Amino acid sequence: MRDNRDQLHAIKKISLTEAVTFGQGDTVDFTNPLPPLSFDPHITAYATQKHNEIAYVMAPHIVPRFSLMETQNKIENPHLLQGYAAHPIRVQETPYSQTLIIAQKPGDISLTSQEARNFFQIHKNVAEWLIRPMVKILRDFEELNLTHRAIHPARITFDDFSFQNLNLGYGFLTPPGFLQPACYEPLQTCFAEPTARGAGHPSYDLYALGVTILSLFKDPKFLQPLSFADINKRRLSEGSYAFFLEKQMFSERITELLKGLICDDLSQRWTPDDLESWADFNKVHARYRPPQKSATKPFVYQGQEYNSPALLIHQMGTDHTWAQDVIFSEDFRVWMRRNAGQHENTVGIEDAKASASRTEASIRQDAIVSYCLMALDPERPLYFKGLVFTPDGIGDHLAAYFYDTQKRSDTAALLSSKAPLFWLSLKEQKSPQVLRFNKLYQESANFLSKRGIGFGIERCLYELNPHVPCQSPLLNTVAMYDRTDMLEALNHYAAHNPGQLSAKLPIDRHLMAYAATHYDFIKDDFLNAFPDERAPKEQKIIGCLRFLSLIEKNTNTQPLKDLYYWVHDLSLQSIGIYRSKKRRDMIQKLLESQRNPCLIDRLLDWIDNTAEKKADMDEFMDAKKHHIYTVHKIKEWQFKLDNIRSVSRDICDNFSILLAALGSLFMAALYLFV
Amino acid sequence: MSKAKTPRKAPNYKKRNLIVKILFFIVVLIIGGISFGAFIMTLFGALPTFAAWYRDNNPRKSLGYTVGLTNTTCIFLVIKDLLPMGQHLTQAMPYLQNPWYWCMIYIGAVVGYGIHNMTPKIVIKTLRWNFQGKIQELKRTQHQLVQQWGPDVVGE
Repeated sequence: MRDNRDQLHAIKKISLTEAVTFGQGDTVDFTNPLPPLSFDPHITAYATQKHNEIAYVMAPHIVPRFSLMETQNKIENPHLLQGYAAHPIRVQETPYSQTLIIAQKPGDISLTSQEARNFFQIHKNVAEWLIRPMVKILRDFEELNLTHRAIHPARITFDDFSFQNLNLGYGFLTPPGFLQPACYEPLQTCFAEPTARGAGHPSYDLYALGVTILSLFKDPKFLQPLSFADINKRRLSEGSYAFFLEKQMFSERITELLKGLICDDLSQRWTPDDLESWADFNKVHARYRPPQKSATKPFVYQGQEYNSPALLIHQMGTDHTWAQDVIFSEDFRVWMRRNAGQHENTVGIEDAKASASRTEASIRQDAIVSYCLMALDPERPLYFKGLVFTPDGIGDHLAAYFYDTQKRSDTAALLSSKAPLFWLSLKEQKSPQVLRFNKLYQESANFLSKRGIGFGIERCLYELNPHVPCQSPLLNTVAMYDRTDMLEALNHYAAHNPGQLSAKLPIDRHLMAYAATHYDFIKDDFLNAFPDERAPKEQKIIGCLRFLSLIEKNTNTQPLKDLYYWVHDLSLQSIGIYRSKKRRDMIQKLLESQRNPCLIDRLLDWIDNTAEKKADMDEFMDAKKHHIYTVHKIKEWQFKLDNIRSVSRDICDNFSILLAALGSLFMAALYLFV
Repeated sequence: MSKAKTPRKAPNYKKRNLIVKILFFIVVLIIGGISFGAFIMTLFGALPTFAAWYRDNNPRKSLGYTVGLTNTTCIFLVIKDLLPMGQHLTQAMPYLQNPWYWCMIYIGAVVGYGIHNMTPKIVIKTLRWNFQGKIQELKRTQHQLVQQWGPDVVGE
């Protein structure tokens, strides 16, 4: 399931200055468990908002969720307000002129406190105090098409010891599931990178609730001796329910509840309706199914023996150095067929290899391993280069590590390999979500294959994460709350950086990719025709003006003063596109006469006039021909000059005879008449 | 449609020179028929012309014509007084013995040589000045084109 993130931009606008003054004197504490992304002020402190004395942290992963709730007027809902609205606790102005507000104020008493544990262990009325409020909250989430993905004893809090008001702690400050210890994550996501767990399915929250309830009845340190990796591996081979409960006995009612919630099969897990029915003391059948049987004989991989095919596949996915050799070995196939009883899964390996062989040579080996592991066990998450992803968490992972070169290139390689598409193709059920992701990943692979502006990894970032704010350095110091604000944001940049504008274009790869993602009127044809990085500056300026003009027209933006002056200066630099000096001078005069802000389209009409450009080109070709003629003529005259003796011979002969004749006549006349 | 230029026919210098030579000898013979003294003066006076004619390797015989024109002009100016004397050589002797006449005839030939030698220098100087002027003008045009259209206008 995916958040309905398209509505995220409808946030009320507020000036940065106003936000900066809010809560001054406080300090920032970065020790909050925020994702690595949050430590980068470029991304985290994108913007802040002041609204009824509540400041929201507008980190990329938070924006969609808060904005979504606000736009749907759910802020008035008491438990949403108390549970999810963030209260400012620390504020600091950063060197980037942005405000950081790390904010969260859940209730004072968490479920991990001794008082809370005592309360629930004595009363044992989990249904009344915990399940009913949680069902209400989870239904609200479902209504909003959201998942919390951070339900955990420490984040279930109460206002006071009456345990009346249940609040959920911060679940929206981070990528989905990032804050969850792996044991609170279902098997579908627990192996994935914390930033790549994806929004997932509403039942993932129910699973987390199940483990949370279990922790109330067990020793809180019951999982501490084991590492999360060991816990997950044992869950994979034994099944979560069997592993968590071990041989501990609970009342029949609690056992039913835990069996219904801590269930690895998505289709078998309880729904909020089942949970409510259970709270109402109705009989709800827990459809628990034990995990697959172990293989009759272990398979040795990297010196370790594996009885569970799922665990072996997971191990090959994370420790992939020898995975390819093993997958295509006869021993492995025989083991899978005879000992693990998974004959049908080994059949797809060759097809998977053939599909992976179509990828780029640089990532082919990794793709083959990834495709084959998917073919062997379609229920496992996506393994690529030793990393584990859920298909709906790739975008989150890319956003979280966009400024980490290695991780960004790994994610780009994953998208280029089309492994997510292969994973989705193995799904029997083609739900709208699957179809949507299918389209998204197909497009992402295409974007990565293009190098032009508006494509590449930046485009993937915004397509996969429509909520991520534009990362362009041009918008570094300003918040763009609404997608129609792009020109205003550029205007703000122009107003605050007057000395740095002459050599800079008001576009870059991020800006174009962001616009291509969010503006329907910017088609790929427009981007394909956009001058590339090697094009002359004049062409780039004209391309840039066309882009801005297109936005101006389609968003009905009025002329913006500082942006206009910026664009005006650039347009003066772009008149070099005309070859004729006369024409350039004429356009320059026109531009200089238009100092008052007007629509960019008008400037563009002068600079990018088709008829003028054609006339200019025709005249230029004539001039070129004329120049060629003069070159030939000069050569001709130079040749004559160099060979003047031979050239002048005839003339000299004739001229000397003529002179002699004239001289003779003169002499004769002189003699006869004088 | 413009007419194609027909190539100019090269003049036949040999034929022309032959005709001139024959005419010259006919004229000399006629003079001889009229006056023996004039004939002698013409014959000896035209020696520079003969020398120039045969020394000139140029098929156009420009030296021969140049010297011939000035030389013969002077000869004709001198013999005009001898022609009425007819075949009486004694009457013509004072003329033949007058060095001033011979001097005048040979000065005419020298003038012809002078003209022929000076003309190329003058012509070449004039042509060079003319050609250089045309080249300068074309270069000026090129410069104006580059000023107007930029360096890209320079074609290959």
